[in-house]
Order: sequence, then structure tokens, then C-alpha cells
Amino acid sequence: MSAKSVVYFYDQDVGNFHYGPGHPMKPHRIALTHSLVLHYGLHKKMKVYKPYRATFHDMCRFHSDEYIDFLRRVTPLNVQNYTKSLTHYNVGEDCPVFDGMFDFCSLYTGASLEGAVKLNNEHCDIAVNWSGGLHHAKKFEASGFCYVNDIVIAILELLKYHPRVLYIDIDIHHGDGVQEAFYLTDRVMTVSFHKYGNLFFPGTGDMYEIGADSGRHYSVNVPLKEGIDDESYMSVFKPVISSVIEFYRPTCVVLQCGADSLGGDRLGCFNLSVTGHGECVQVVKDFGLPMLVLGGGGYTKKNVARCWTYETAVLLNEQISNELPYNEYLEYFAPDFSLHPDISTKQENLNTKQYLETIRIATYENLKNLTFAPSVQMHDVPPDLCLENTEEGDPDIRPTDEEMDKRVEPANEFYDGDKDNDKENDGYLDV
Amino acid sequence: MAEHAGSESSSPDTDRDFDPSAEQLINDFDDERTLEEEENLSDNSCSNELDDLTKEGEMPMEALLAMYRVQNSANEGAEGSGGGPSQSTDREGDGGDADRSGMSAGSADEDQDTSRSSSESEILENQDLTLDKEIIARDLLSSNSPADDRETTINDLLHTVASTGTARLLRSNSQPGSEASSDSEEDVDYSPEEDKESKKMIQVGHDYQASIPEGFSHYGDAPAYENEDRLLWNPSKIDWEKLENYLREVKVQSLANAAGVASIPTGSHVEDDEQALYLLLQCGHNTEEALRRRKMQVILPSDPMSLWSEDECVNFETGLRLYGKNFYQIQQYKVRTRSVGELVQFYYMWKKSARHDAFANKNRLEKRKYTLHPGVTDYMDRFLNEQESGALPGSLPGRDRSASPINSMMYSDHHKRSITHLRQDLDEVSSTTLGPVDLQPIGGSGTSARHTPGGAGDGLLGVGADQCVVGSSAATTCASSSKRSFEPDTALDSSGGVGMRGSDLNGNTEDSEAASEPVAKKLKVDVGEGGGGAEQPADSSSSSLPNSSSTTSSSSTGTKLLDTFPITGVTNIDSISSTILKPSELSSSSSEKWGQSAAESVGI
Repeated sequence: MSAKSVVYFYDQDVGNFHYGPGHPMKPHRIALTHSLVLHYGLHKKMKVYKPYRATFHDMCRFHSDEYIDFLRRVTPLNVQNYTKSLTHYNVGEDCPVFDGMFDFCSLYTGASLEGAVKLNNEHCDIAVNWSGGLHHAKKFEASGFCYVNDIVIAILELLKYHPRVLYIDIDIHHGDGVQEAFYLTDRVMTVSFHKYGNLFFPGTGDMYEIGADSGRHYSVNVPLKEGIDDESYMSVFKPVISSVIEFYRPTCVVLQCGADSLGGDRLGCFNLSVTGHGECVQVVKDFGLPMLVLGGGGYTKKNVARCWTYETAVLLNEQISNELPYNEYLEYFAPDFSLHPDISTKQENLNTKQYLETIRIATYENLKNLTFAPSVQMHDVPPDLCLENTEEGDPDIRPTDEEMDKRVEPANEFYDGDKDNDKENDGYLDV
Repeated sequence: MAEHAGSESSSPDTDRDFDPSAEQLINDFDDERTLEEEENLSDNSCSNELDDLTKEGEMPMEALLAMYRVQNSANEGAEGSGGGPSQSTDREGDGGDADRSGMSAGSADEDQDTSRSSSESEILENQDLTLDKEIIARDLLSSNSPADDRETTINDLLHTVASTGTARLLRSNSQPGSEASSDSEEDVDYSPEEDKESKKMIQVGHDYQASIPEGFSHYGDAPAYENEDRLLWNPSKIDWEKLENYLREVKVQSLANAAGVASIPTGSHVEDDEQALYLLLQCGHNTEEALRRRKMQVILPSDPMSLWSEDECVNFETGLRLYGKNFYQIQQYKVRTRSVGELVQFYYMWKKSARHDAFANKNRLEKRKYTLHPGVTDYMDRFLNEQESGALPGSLPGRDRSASPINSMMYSDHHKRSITHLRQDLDEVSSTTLGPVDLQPIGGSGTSARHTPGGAGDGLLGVGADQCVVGSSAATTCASSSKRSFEPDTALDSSGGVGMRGSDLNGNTEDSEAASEPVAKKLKVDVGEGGGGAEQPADSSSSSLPNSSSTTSSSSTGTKLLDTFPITGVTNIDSISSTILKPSELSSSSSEKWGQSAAESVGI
């Protein structure tokens, strides 16, 4: 397995925000994660950046000016002057006004955005920002603990260089904000695996939401039921992702690693283990595409930190021991002090094999619509005539010719191409 | 051990944010407020929605397209009408049909599921069911029943459930069995018009999608976002062996220079040191140069600004008591000297310190006391009173942190491991040989003696900002330990040291010497022996005889303990000393033995 160069973003301030009493979202989990990463000795294996802070202007690349302006102005002190706006922008309960809210947004968004820039410049193969991944935020409003949608902003940046970006979301909640933002375009394919039904937040994510207009068939939703375990999850994740990549041929992947799909999450009801969650990351990584890896949900702090630390190691191809290293937050990991405690719950797995099979088939059938009109995809994707040329001149990882060939070739050819790329990268890295 | 088992089992799951008592205190309040608001605002949200919704109920994809064109006037025939903001309507209409047919080809149960997608989700959502109802709904609504049935079920639901009108929130999705329900159940009120907007469908239109710039663009010579970030470490330019050596060297160096808790080695594992790596990067990956510079740098054990004074700590705790985890309010009204971010950072360190345990226990007591003194509203005063009054009959022993694996993990070399064993022995001693009645205070002494290394252990956990906390928490436990051990000894009124909140160990020793009661004397002697025992372990047989030599050793113990805990009292710990716990191994061992022999001899 070839080593990928990994860039990791962390700002020590990002853990010091607090959504307010009783709120399950705890930015401190990022600090917890970082502490483990550091003490496992993973820090020295990556390029580490204290990230850029996103500006008002950056945020407005997706969001409306008024909304961001509101976020910028409102503070706990003056919040009563904004009652109307609060309702309008859905800021209040799930997304409270807390001290430093805008700074927080600016930190996590800046890191994601910069990750995208680094990928565009090919300064790295994988960019990691555990503070990002706030996938619910909408163009005009906050939602589900998310104010600014760093993912959308990062993908917009990636689209400057990449013709097709694949977004994968393994948060237990539907990645509605990202899906909505790119619902009409074929340049971004969104794939979300989530709990669906019985009023589970946010309520979208039915498998028949497939996109519209030119984006039709470019939204993939895999609705799941409570209690899914590693094996069942993988039985649907792997084939779906494989066929998505096979059919869509993304040039870049954004992976949202919401850790609320782990067992024992405070708000979640899935039953994944840290290993199982990490395997999703491994599967995506094995395709060898440039990757932006983001955080997301995750409300049992200690498990979030475990999960993202483990996934950092996965991305680095490092083996780390089950015994947690000494760190200043060690007591949070009591009583086992291990990386892979048993976090499964008694929640019954309501996903029958048959159900998962049905979903898989339906998804596959849906994806076949892409191959039925591959030429549409190809020509429609870059509206600019020079695009193909640009792409060639561009130091994009995969040469255009090869890419063209692969589109008509069967799927297994694709993997060869990938390995080739890995070798290229090896050469590049050794320099 | 028995009492510890008790306190451990009653102590909260370590991952929870708070001790239950404090948490409940806070969240009860919080929840009620939210519920009230909810009920005030709830009524008008769903009355006229139903009609609209039933109309829309039957539409699968069309609904979406209709939304696209005519906001809020969705009707079944809307397929081809209306003007999309940007795209050609004809094409979309066709697309909608094509899509549907394509889909029905794709899966057999399309009809059912599609109707579910629009009607069930929309209706359910717009009925604003809350968490509790969500669970009911889970039982009542199996995903395969047709949409019509579902509607009636929903109506039933709404009738059975008294309060409607709260919209779905992410934070309300806690698991049925999840403990934290008290705060995750908070729900909001969406205003009616917002409810209409937030139909649980992906919305289409200029207000929803990102505008995607056409074509590619390239970065110029000066990349747009590269200016303000900072590279902290780059692994590609150094070989691993060199790097490992460097880090090891850095560690040795910092251990040599370190004072206080930092001086405790953390095991053979070579971990990363952010600052050291950054320095190495700045030195162009030249390890010699980096090490040289590092030597030259006077590395303060921690930034003096980041050390918290005792006043700040106390104010913080008072604030926490008053405002819960509303750090903004705590900052505004209690700890103006710190930013909210610092408070949050501090909180997470504090939470796992012995000080938090003390706080939680106090809180529990206070809750009980409050019914007795309803007029007393000044928590600060009461907090202080309690500290001063000292004797708290049946005061709960602090959670025994030293017994948790964390310490054995931290004290990794043999020397320390032996301490751990000792501690375990001590556990046994106190649980087996001590009777429940008259030994309660002694048990307290044993507890706190063991607690003290726990404090030190927490000290180990701390870096920078929390060192002072740890120091002071150790001080608190020390002071309270001596308090507790002399608790039954009511003749202690003469002893200013115990009455004083900031009594130091030396003071306590003197107090006990001054005290004339036999029990006190015995205790004192035991303490002395224990201290002596640290040096001469075989000595314990003489412990029951109060003689001058043991008195001497008692005072020497006092001094010794004072040395090991150079804390002059809780009140006047200023923003001092990362050196508080300097020889912390020593301190733990000696206090350990102190506690042990005290316990033993009382058992005699």
C-alpha cells in the first residue's frame, strides 16, 4: 500500500467553543481527537497546518450575504434585537447563538476550504479537517447544529479544478445541506448513508430523492434503519460506493465522517464500531482518489475522538495500538482506556438482508442511468469548451486520455489505472 | 473499599459532562424553561397545514417540481406550469415524468415508497411530533402501510399526545434508552410560516442551490488562501530515525528542566511534541540546531497567564453553580478575567480533576441543605460556609480517583507501581479493618490520603492551564483530609488551623498536638507514626503509645508533608506555582503511608 501524503488541519482554538448548556454538540471533541492524534505519534507523520480562517466573502460563496451578515453580527449580548432574524434563519435552539459562533464557523470553514485548495494544488493526496463536515447548513439558514456549510464551500473550491466531485456522507443524519446545494448539477454527486424514517432528523434522504434537472441521478440516498452493525453497513456501503465510483468516475472525493453512526451515540441509533466506521474510510481511500476528509456529527465525545483518531491512522496507513497513550484527557476514556472498546448497544438491527439487498439493487439500477447516457455526462459536465484541454494541461492526477478510455471500459480496468497513479505518487513522494 | 465502591457506583459515567446532581440541577431548569416556551407558542402551527398537506400528500416527484415552480401552491396538476427561476420548464416537466417511469422500472414497490417519501415524511414532519411521539410513532407506523392509513394514524397520534407544535430537531433524536434525555429533549418552536418553508424535502430554486461557476479556474501565482495559514510540521524532509531521536532528546531535556507535574515521565512511548516539532521545522529540520535553540529558550513550564488563581477557580465554580454550563454568563458575571474560550478549556480540564469531585459532592449536599435553609440564596456564602464549618457528618467521600486505572497507567515505572500496590493494600485495610461507626472519620482520612495522590494524578493530566487547579485541588483535599481526620474531635475548637479554610498541613499537625482529647492524640500519634513509617516502615508497633518521640516524628511529618505540598493554604494560592506538586511521587507515597498507618493503628 503506497503512502499518501496527508495534510491535517487543526487550530487549538477550535475546541474551546461551547454551544450552551445541555447542547449535545461539543466542539471540544476536536481537541480530544487532536490530543489522541498527537500522543499516538501520528502528528509527525502528516503535514500539519494551523488553518486559514474563512472570511465573510468565502462563506458567501454559498450562503446568502444577509444570512452570513446576520451570523457575523449576532452575539449572546445583542441577540434579543434579532428575534425576527433568529426565526428567519432558524437560529435559536438547535443552532443557538453562542459566544464566538462566527469565529467557530470561520475556523472550521477555513480549514475545509484550505483543504480543498491544497488538493487542487496537489500539495497533498488527502486533507483532513475533523472540525468540518457541518452538512446540514442551508444557503439561507442554519440547521442541525450547522451554521455555515463548509462542505459546500470546499466542494465549490474543488470544482475549480475537478470536473466531477463525489461527496460521501456516513453521518447517521442525511447530508441534506450538501445534497440540496448540488441537487441540480451533475458535477457533484452526493451519496448519503443515513437513518431514515420515523421522524429522524432532518427528514429528507428518501432513496427516491435522486436529484433534478441536470442533477437527476446525481443524488444517491441510502436510507437505513436503526441498529445497523458493521457487517450490514459494509454490505451496502462497499457495493454502492464501488458502483458509484465506477459509474461516475469522480476526480476527487469528499468524505464526511460523522461519528454519530457509531454505537452508543447520544443522538444516534446505529451500531457501528470504531473499526467498522474506519473501514468505510479505508474503502474510500483504497480507490486512491484525492480526498478531503471531514468530521461531522458525533455526540458521544470519547467515541468520536477514538473514531477520528483511528481514521487518521487509517488514512496514514499506520497501525496504532488499542491501548490509548497517555494524554491530558485520558480520564475521559475511562474505564477501558482503549481505542476499540465494545460500544455496541442492545439496539436490534432492523435492517434485514432483504431490505439492504433491495436498496442496493435500486441504487444500482438508478446508477445505470448514468451509463445509459455517458456522453451526456461527459459533454455536459464541462460547459466550457476548453475544459478538456484545460484538464490535460492541468496537473490532474489522471491523464485525460486514460480517463476517456476508462469511461467505456469495464469497471475492473479502473483499478489498474488507480494503481498506476499510486506508483506515480510514490515517485513524487520520494523526491 | 466498601464506601468507595458505593461512591464509585454513584459517580456518573465518566463520559457524561457532569455529575448527575449538577447536571440535573442545570438541565431541569433548562428544560422547563424550554417546555414552557413551547407550550406558549405551540397552538397555531398545525391547523391549516393539514389541508395543504393532504393536497400535497399524494405527490411524489411532482411535489418537488411543483415546489420548484410555485412555492406554497402545490397542487397535483402543477406539473408543467409555473416558471422555474433559471431552467427551462418544459424540460423539467418532461424530466419529472421520465424520472418517474424510470424509477418504477427500477423498483417494484415504487408506489408505496414514493408516497411514503412525500406524504409520510411531509405530514409527519409538519405535524411537529416531538421526541416522545417519535418513539410512539416508531411503534405505530410501520413503513409499509399506505399513506392514507398513515394520515389517520397521525391524527390519532396527535390526539393522544397532548402537546403538539414542536418541530423536529436534530438534538431531539436521542435514542430511546439514552440517559441524557434531560437535555436532549429540548425542542423548539418553529413559527408557522417557517414550518411551511421547512417541508422535509430537498428544495429547489435560487434560494437553495449553490451557484456553480462554469468551467474551471486556476489559481494565479499567489494562491488565494495560502497566506494566512501556518505550516506547523512537515514530515517529508527528515528521516524517521533522526526524528525519533530528536523527540526522545527533547523529552529527556524537558524532563530535566521540568518542574512540577511535568517532571513525571509518561512512559517509554515517544509521543509528539507540537512545539518541538514546530521548532524543528523552523530550524529547517536541523535537529542539532533545534535542540540548541530549545536549550537556549527559557521554556516556562506554562504560560503564567494561563494559570488560574484560586479566586478565579472559586468564581468559576460559583458561576457554574449559578448558570450551569452557560459559559458566556459565567464569563459575564463571575470570571471577567478570562475569555469564554478559556473558560471552556478550563472546564474540560477541571471536569476530570479532584476539584470537580469536591464540587459535585458539595453540590449534592447543598441541594439537600437548601430545603433546610430556603432563605439562603447566596451560593457563594454557603459554599464558603461549608468549607469553614468543616464537620459535615456523613460527608460523602470523594470519588477515589487514585483507584482508577488511570494512575497505574501513568505511574508506569516500578517505583510508582509499588505505590499503586500500596494503595490497593490501603484500600483493603480501610475496608476490612475499619468499623463503620467510629472509624468513619478515620476512613475519611484514609480516603483523602488516597485522594491526595489522586489529586496529583489529575495534576499529571494537566498541562499549562490546569496546573494551578490541580495544585489547589490537592490543597483542598489535603486541607479537607486533615479536617476530616480530626472531624470527630470536637475539642478542635481551639484549633484555628482547622477552622481556617486555608489551613495547611503543618497547622493541622500542630492542632492535633494541641488537642487534649485522647482520640485526637492517638490520631496525631498515628499520623506521626505514619510519617515516620514512610522512613521506617517496621515501626508501626509503637504507634499506639503516645510518646515524645512520636510527637517529634509527627511534626517532622508535618514539615515533610508541607515540603511535598508547598501550599500555604487554599485561599492564598495565587496564580502561583506549577511547582506545587514538584516531588509529587514523594508526596503521594508519604501521604499514602500516612493514611495507611493512621488507618491501621486505629484499627488496633
